[in-house]
Amino acid sequence: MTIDICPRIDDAASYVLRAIPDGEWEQYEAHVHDCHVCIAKVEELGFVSDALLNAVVQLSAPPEIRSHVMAVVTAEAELLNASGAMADRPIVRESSRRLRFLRLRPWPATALAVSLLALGIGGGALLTGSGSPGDPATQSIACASAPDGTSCNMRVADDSAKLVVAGLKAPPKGRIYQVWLDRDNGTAPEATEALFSVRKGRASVDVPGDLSDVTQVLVTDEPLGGSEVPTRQPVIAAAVS
Amino acid sequence: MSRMRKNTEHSPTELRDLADEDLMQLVRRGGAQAFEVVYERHSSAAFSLAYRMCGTRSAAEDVVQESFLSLWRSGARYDRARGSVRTWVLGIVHNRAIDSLRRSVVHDRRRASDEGIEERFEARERTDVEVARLDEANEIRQALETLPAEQSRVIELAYFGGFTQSEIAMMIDTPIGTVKGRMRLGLEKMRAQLGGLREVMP
Repeated sequence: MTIDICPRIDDAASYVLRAIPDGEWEQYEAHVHDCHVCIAKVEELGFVSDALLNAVVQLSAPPEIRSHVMAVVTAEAELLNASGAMADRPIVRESSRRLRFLRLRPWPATALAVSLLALGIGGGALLTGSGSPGDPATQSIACASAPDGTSCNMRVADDSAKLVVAGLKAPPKGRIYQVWLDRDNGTAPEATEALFSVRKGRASVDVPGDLSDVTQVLVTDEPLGGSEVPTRQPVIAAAVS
Repeated sequence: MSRMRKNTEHSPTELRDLADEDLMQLVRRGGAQAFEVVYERHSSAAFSLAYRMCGTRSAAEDVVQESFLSLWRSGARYDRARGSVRTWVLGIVHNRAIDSLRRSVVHDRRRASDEGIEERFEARERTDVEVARLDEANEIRQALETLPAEQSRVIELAYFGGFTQSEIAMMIDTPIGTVKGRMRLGLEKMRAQLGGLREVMP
């Protein structure tokens, strides 16, 4: 028997616009799977939502994004090539914010805490003034700890933070710098997908993730592709407030 | 697949002549140079979408960076039967931007800091494909703009603002059923208007 109407037909529009709350998403997907009326409507309206992806004013991508992305990609490709055809590609689930692909020996949270204390990192950041004149909401905060000869500061705005370094040595061969978020809640620092190398000692790295309760941003050198937990002591520690 | 060679056997010029779908086969096998060509082709569209949604350059850069690294690491999941590489890339960017907006504590304050960025970063038309895409984008925007205001508004709030249907209902003080109905009617009208649209291929 053919079903001509479905009481959830309007949800098809919300679905293709991604306006259904995350908690109800799977329930509607399950419904669509079994409802040919909604399947047809999702296909029909999905054409429009795909078209809308291209409907924005076109801008040029800032060149620094390419530098960051290609530094990571090139490093991971080299690792893959060196490991041969049977090497596992690093895999990140699209829905995940965490790196899950390497099983490395964790660097215990307690050891990290001890190390941070040894480095004298306790939130004693030095506020060095505001950011650029055009962005008065930005503060520039000197990093609490960085290698000798390295200039390092955090540029913190309401909704974002950027780590800017100069004079930083390149990570050891086969490794890459990774940014971590320390929430000072007794757990190990939280991994981010911010992996970076340096060019002529310089790097400018956007710190991803929710920074609302982050006390410090840390940087360690990690195997190419990053780690789930820090495997080395931090080379940089920076307060964000 | 038969005409594809190993990634290292393609010169940069040859890579630039390949279709996106062929490049993705090389990306799947770890081809960084092939990935770079994919990046070159779609990064501006990705940044444009991310900026339109996030409203600040910094947040848009984050989203684009995360999206392309995700694309690099999950290239095997691209299925050409489900659409073009461009749509796949922009879909990832869209999802990432919405995730970013929904976890942001300053969701309702976005767009505050980068006014005028269009003036500084506006892309120039360089190729026939880009010109065709601009025409296509204009046509889509026109279809959106010709909708009744109450329909275009809920579509924009959802798709580019990252708001859920219940959040929109509260924002405009309208029953959620009405919001959903406006979304559907608006999209159906756009579908009728854009019926002849075909995606521009590289």
